[in-house]
Amino acid sequence: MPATGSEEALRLEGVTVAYGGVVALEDVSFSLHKGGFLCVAGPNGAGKTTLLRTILGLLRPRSGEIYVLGEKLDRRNAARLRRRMGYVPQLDRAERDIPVLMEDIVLMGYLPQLRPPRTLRKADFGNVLELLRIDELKGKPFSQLSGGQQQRVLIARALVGDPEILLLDEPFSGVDPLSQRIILEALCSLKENGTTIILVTHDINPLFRVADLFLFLKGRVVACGGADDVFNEETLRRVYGANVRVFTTDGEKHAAIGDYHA
Amino acid sequence: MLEAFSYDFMQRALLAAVFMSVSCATISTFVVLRGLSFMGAGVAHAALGGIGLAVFIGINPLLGALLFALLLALVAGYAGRKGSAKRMDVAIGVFFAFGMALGVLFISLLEEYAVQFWALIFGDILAVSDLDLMLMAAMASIVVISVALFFREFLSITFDFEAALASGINATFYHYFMLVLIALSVVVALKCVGVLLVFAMLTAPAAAAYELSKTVRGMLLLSVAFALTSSISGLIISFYVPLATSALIVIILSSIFFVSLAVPSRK
Repeated sequence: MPATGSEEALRLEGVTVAYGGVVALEDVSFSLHKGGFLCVAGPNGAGKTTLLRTILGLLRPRSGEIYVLGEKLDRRNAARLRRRMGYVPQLDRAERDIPVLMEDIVLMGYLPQLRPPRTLRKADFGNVLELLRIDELKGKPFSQLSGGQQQRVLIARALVGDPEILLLDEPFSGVDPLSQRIILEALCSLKENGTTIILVTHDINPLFRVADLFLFLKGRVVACGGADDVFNEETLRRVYGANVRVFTTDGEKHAAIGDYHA
Repeated sequence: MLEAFSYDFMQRALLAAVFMSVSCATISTFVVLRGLSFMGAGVAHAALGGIGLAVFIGINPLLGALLFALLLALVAGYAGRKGSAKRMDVAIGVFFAFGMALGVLFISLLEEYAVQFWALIFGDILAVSDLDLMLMAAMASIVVISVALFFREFLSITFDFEAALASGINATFYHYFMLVLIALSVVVALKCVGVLLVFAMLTAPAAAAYELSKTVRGMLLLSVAFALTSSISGLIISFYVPLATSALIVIILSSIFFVSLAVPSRK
């Protein structure tokens, strides 16, 4: 599946990933241009998080090749390439009970760039706190923030290192509508400034107008293309294997899948 | 009170208490936050095998303890290199029993040296030698300087191991490094409180501080304060009252933890 621009940020060619003997992803190929916005969707166990980990070099594919920012990803350059990417894992992966202030978590994003002894200045936050509207949360323990605020802090952590590619795993999960809107606005702003975005989600509806490319996974690629190409009942039924309805309100498509919105 | 420290053995004991408190309390912050409590118990018991070996070949028992403690750290580190404390616990449990069994074996072989074993099983802070002190000072310095330099890296892998790895931090290296520092801290404390009670030094100070702190840095400082308070007061009480110093230190420390549970949380 072709890139939609001239310069590639990411290309996967026939990537297969297995845990032990169990294949989690099979023969995945796609490419994404620099500054592109890819939405990865699919049911539970479809291999969405595995895909992100493989792109980050945390998992090695059994076969196939991955090119990140023009370089073929391998064991030797994985750590260096990771420093050019920002990763926002699922919120529940973090130890949220640790007594740590919001800004200390954001500053963790600088660590790969600075070796001790080092001095971190609050000014180093740049405009990341404003972008995610968490500047007023300075001095607050992370554990006291709402789920949406915590998610925004984790996104800020991934952004302070000024990544060229931003990968987000379920950033809307457990997030209030206000935080969801702020995150979406921030992602749009990043995209405008040339950041490549790869976002894994269950809820594709908010991304209909935002993402350039949709990749539907179910262990392998079921569909990949623009919203108008893949946002239809036939494709979604192949992905989710459930009752799917796609309807349009105010000119925007929405999908309802089974008991929940896709 | 100052009279107690006019004696040479008490001055050495005071220094040992300070080295133990600072190193154990510093690293205990991460032991508690990462749920590595069993690592402390495992290292201490595995060290018994090293103590036996050292007595057998005639070197300072702390060096033998250090060897086995480091071996356990590496074995446990390998088992948990992807950040899983559960997988580590299994490896620690096996090594724990292996070291303990070796220790028992050497005790049965070397009955005439049994007093050296008992000093390290229950602790004998009043009998630390100059060589012990030098070893303890060196190990405690390594622990404190390392945590000061790599505090943010340790905090990062504690908060979210996978995200730290994904950001380009060498999280696996810091994971091993932290376990080595835990092993060093255990060895520093062995002579003071012994194999059986060192576990308290690695958990209670930070566990009490956790209840009262808003930040990890505050927790670390409070943890050191609690450990220093209990070890020095235990030492002073045991000078005037004929009671085991190691037991007093741990009882005071445990009491601080129980009180901290009752204090309304500031978090």
